Amino acid sequence: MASDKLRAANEIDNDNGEMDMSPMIDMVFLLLLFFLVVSNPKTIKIDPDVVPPIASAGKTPEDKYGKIVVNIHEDGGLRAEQFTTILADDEGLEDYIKTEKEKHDSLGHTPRLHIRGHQETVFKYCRKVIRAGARVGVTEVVFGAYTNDK
Amino acid sequence: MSRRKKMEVPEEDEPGLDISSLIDVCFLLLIYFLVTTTIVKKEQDIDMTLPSVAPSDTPPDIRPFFIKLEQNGFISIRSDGTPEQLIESDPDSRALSNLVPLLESYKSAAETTDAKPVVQLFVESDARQQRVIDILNALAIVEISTVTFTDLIDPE
Repeated sequence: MASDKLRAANEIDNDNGEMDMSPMIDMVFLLLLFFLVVSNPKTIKIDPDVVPPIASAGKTPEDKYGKIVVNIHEDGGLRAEQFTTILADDEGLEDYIKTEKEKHDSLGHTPRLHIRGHQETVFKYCRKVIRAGARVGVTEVVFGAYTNDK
Repeated sequence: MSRRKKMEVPEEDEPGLDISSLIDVCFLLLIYFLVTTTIVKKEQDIDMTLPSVAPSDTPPDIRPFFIKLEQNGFISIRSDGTPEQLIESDPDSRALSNLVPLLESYKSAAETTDAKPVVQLFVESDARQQRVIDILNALAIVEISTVTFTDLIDPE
């Protein structure tokens, strides 16, 4: 009698045809956590046309604040952090650095010139940027680099 | 018989949580991260401090270590009043295995006199950016961050 009842109960349970969702939810959460952990907040906007040089002793950026980004293309063309903005001449470059410096100063951040120079460009363009920065009083310079070429 | 059927307890009364909306949200977040995540190569920083852009009347405590980079990638040095000496003639060598030990000994010499090691860097205009970074990388290895570019001051 008891076994009949049990059998009947089991039959009812099996007839439900419901899928156990818990492993799927586990997997979804696992993937979600993976992406949350591996995603690295971007500190500066990356100009895709600039391939930075390789420097094995490069350090992970500690502070994203105060950076005045100047991109130097292979042909020597200068771009602001918003890489659609072309810094055509010395005056434009200096104005850009000065404006950014004032912005960072007002926020209490130490302004730093972040030079993202293409690895195949020549140094004279980089010198032009450092010189413009020095004229407006930015003496801390950071060079963007990859730690390896892979 | 038919009356008994009508008296059956409806299924809705069974306690149960509807988790379908939770799964919807999870998938939505997952898809968002899948779509927005871009695998970008991580960029690192090489820090450098320019000590001064204007000529100074006070001489530094220790004679600066002079490095010259030619446009063909050759690197020469001059230290302690010695004549210029070519030390790196392979422009594709990243490690700068001759320069690094010399910088290390210069730094330890500076530390014995409690002076800050300063490097003077002269780079020819057409030298490659990668080669300049190679030198700055060597300086970062030995932890020298005060660098002077000798030709940064505008000619009067």
